[in-house]
Formats: sequence, C-alpha cells, structure tokens
Amino acid sequence: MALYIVATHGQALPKFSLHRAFKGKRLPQTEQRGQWKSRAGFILAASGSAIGLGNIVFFSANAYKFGGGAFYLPYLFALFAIGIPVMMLEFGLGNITARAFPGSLHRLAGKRGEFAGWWAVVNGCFLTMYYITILSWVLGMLVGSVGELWKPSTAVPAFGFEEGDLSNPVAYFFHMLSTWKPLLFVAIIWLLNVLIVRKGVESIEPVTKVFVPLMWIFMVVLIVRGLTLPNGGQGVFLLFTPNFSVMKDPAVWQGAFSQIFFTLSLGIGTMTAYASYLPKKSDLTQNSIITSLLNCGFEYIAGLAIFSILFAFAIVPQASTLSMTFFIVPQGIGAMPAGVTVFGIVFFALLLMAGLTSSVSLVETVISPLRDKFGWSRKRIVTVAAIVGFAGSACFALPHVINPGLEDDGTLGLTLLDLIDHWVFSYGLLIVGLSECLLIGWLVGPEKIRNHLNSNSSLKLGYWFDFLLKYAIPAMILFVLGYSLWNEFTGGLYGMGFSENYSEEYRFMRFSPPVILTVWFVSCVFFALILTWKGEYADAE
Amino acid sequence: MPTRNKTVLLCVTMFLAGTVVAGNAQAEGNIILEKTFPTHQEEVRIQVMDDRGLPVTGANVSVTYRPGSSVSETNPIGRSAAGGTLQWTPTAAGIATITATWLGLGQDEVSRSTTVSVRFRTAPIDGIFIMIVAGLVLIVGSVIRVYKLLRAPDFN
Repeated sequence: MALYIVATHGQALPKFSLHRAFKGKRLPQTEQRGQWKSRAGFILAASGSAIGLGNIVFFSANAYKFGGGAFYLPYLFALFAIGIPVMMLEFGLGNITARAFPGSLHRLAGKRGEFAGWWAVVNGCFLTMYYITILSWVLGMLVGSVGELWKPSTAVPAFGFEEGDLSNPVAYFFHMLSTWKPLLFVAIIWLLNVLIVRKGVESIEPVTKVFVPLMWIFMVVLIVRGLTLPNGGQGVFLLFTPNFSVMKDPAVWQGAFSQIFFTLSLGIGTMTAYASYLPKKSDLTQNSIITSLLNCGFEYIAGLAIFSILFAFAIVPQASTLSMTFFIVPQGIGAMPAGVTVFGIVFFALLLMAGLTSSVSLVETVISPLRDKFGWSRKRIVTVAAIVGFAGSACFALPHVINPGLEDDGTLGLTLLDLIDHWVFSYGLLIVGLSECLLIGWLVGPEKIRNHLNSNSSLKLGYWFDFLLKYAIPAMILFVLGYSLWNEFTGGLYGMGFSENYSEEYRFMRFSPPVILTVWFVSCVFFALILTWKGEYADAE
Repeated sequence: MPTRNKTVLLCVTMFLAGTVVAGNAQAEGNIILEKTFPTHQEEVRIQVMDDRGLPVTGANVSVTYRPGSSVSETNPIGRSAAGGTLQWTPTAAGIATITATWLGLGQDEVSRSTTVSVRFRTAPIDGIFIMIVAGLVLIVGSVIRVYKLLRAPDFN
C-alpha cells in the first residue's frame, strides 16, 4: 500500500491554480493521511456514509407524501441530473488535490473557494452534533427494545401523558427523554466515533466492511418480515402507485431535488474527504455511480420493508425522520403478531449501524481539513473534536435530562434540534452545493474536472457534464432555494408558528427561531472566515 | 391547560402529528368496520359507537384518502342510520382515515377517527411498472456496477 499520494499526471495543464494540483508536487501530510486499502473498502465506506437514518425511514415517507410512484420520476431525474454529477465533482475535488473539501477548493479556486469549503465544514459540525444526538436516542431505543420498549404503555408524567395515552414505543421514547440516559448514550456514541476514526481510513475501512453488508442483510430480514405480514405486499402497491396530478406542483420537484442532495451526503464535503484518500489513478466516474446507486437502491428496498409494515397495521406515514424512526415504524413493529423483540432489535441495530457509518464520515469531514491545513496530529484533532462535539450533542439533548420534571420548558431540545436541522439541511447543504458548482463551473472550468475524471475512467464524460455543472445544476439548486425562501417569507419564518405554545414565563422562547437562524448563519460565516484566513497550507506558494 | 401541557403540545404537534389521536380512537373502537381490510370499490359496513359503546345515529362520517400527503382528499360518506351503521365503498386504495362527528350529550361536537388500509382490488399496473423501472435502474444497476467493480483490478 502506498503510504503517500504523489500528485502526478501526464496531461498538459492549463493556467490557474489547478496547475499546482497536477504538477507533481508531493503533498504534505500524505504520509499520515493514509489510503483506502481496496476499492471495495472505499465504495462500502462511501455508500455507508450516504446511507443513513433518512434512507431507511424518510425516503419512502417522502414518496408517500408526494404522490407515491409519481415521486420516483423527479427523483430518478434528480439522481442522474444532479446527484451523480455532483458526486463526481466532489470525488474529483478530493482525488485531484488529495485534500479535504476546504483544501481542495483552496487549491483550485483560492481563498474564495476555501471559504465555501470551511462554510461546509462548520455547517457539517452542527449536523454532526445533532445527528449524534439522534443516534444516541436510537441507541436508547435499541437498549429498550430488548424488553422495556414493548411492554404495555406507561404514563409519562414529565410530559403530561397518562397511561394508555401513547403507544408503547412513543411512551418509552418520551420517558427516556425525561431522564439522564440520553447524555450517557451521547457519550457512548461519541466514544464509538472516536474509536472508529482514530486511525483515519485505516480504522474506518474495516468497520464499514462489516457494518454495510450487515445493514443490507438486516434490511432484507425486515423486508421478508414485512412482506409476509397479512396484506403486507399491498403496502408495496401503496408505495409505488402513482398519482400524477402532483407533477405540476413545484413542491414535489423541490422535494425530489432536495432529497437527492441530502441522501447522497452532498454539500458537506464528506465525499471529497473520502476521495482524498483514494489513489490518484482511481475510476472516479464508476465509483460515483456505484456509490449513488447503492445508496438509492438501499432507499428503494427500505421502502418495501417500511410500507409493508405500515400498510399491514394501517399506520399513516409522516415525512419526518424523527417521527418515522421513534414513533411510527416502532408502532408497526410493536403490533406484529410474533417476534416483536427480535424485529425491534433488528430495526434499531440497522439504524445504529447506518447512523454510525454516516456519523464517522461526518466526523472525518471535520478532522481531515484541519489536519490538511494546520498539520495537527490526528490524535489531537480527534480529541478536541470529540470534546467539542460531545458538548454540542449534549446541548441538543440536555434540556430534557437536566430537568426531568419539566418545570421549565422541557421541549427546548427538540425545538433546538428541529430549528437547526431546518437551516442546516434545507439551506446549508444547498448553499454549499451551489457554491461548488459556481466555483468550478465559472471560475475553475468544469472541463478540468472532467478531464481528470476521464483520465482514469472506463466511462468517459462528455460536454454535457460541463453544461450540468455550469448551468443546469446551479439553476435547479437556485429553484429549490428560491422556492424554499419564498415559502419562508410568505408562510412565516420556520418555527414561528409554535410561538403560541410557550407559557408566559418562557415567552422569550418565541424569539428562538430568528435567534437560532442568526446563530447558525453568523457561526458559519465567522468560523469560515477565521479558518480561511488563519494559517496557510504547508505547500502553499 | 397546565403550562407544562402547553409545552408538551409543541413536541406532540411537531412529532406525532395526529398519530396518537388516531391511534386512541381506533383503540377505543368508536368506528368499527365489517372487514379489517376493506377492498377498493367493494362496499363495506361501518358502525359508529360512542365512548360508552352505544351506537350513534346521525353521525356525519367522512373519509380522507392518503392522509398526511400532498394528494390527500376528504370525501363525505354519509350519516349513520339507526344502529350507527352506514355503507361505504372506498374509491381509492391505500391508507384512509375515517372520521365520524356527532353531537354529544352536552351538545358538544364529538369527533372520533380511525385509520384503515384499503386493499387494492387488482395489482395496479402503473404502480408495478414504476416499481420495475425503479428497481431495474437502482437495484439491477447497482448489481451490474458492483459486479464490474469486483472484476476490475484493485488499487494494488
């Protein structure tokens, strides 16, 4: 195994900073950067990063929301028109430069590019923190699914629910939130992440090689169980039967474009970080296609499992990852005639594995660029990231656990998570996606990325790739962003609708939606600026 | 409503979105269907009961097909006759929520709902077509690409 990556390439290169990427200079820190041991290892890690909680529970619920089978048409269009090309771009960025997202954009597009890259990393930090909080709840449900979770519903006095008000899993979830347990689970999940990323790809690869195939096996188990339930097969008809009247609704197209961006983990820098550990002569085009298809294929089969269970027990899906994960699917599992505990464990173990393979990639997305730029040791960065990350994740869970009686506003955690998720996911990722397409499309030149992708690929990209990066994808992202902003302004700022629910004593909480928006935006800009202008890359000229 | 419950309402609204309410109604058995799984375009008898288990006459009953989706559609079914019964012919397959509303003892409006799965009468051709096309693209596409990946020379 090559211990370092030498950026060599035989092509005559045009002007601009891309020249520096190709001219054969040995990149710094590559000796410590590591490299994937096998192509399969990389594909499993990349697809494991893309396949997360949302793939298992959210996609099919989103399809249900937007016209069932009719949603697959804009979804497949978005996959090929946006998803795979941006995946190729992000793989290309990492592979050309052997750097993570900010470093690769710095090398190709200078400080402006680096700023966009750090924006993505800071935005990704928020995402990592609350994603791990959600994962800690999944761990809590997994522990509970051994027995407690499926017992008859009990009262949850902390939330004002009496016995029988809620189904068992929902009552268990709310009861868990009113205790200190989530804090412990957050610590465990962070510890697992630290253990997996401690040696970079060297320790990530073996874990994903076990987890990702297991995820597929567990999903097949759930599909078989779902389809063998009475009328379970009818759920598949429900999922795929189209209602084409939705096609004229812009919200459906917005939903499909957003879904593709989120499901493939684009606009975070994860794929660039992972691709930076690939050997120079890698078939990036094929790798992008395989990763994207595996991710979307997993979503496809997950829909079969989820909808067969929901139909069999007449449960209405909700297009929300949290609702589907903690309330709706567990309700279906709890209603199964036999094997509730086994299938409950399978479901939550599947979610935990999918979440872990995603969260380690998120953590690596933060660690990798800091190492590239500041040359800190991995051990040091991992330690700092884990401490800061734990504190952040605890903030998303803490209000529930510091005050079990909920004499104060005990829903702050959920509200905080929900609000930050809205801005990070609905805007943050898309802003990054738009920025990288504009930077490469208009400043660097898409043909340069295409040439690099084609140099080692068995599948050659044509001029259509340039067109997509330069015009089509920015236009589609602008449409989604514009449509979302329009809804924000006409329908009111996200979260403001809940302001009536706050008691007089906690009336100040009604300002939380604009405050959270400001904190998120200012943090992204501030830290991106600091990280862009502080220090220089060791090989900078 | 106590302060605490008001705040609880926030998270319930955000994350449960009515699931709990529907679940309770079903558990109490206010709306009973002749068949657990009615079939599309096949008539089925509905019986509306109050919380004491007595039939409700004159309840307004409606159905929402595909609740919680952008294509959800609510249609009236009719009023329950003596014995709390009425006939319903589902006009769409899939998940549907049946809601019954009547005036209670204190002249307050009482509303109860339940969710049912309506079977497809025959396999939907358009649905199967989309399932096959998406499956071919995503699953068969993945298998072919992975097969090629395994045959291609590795990094070293």
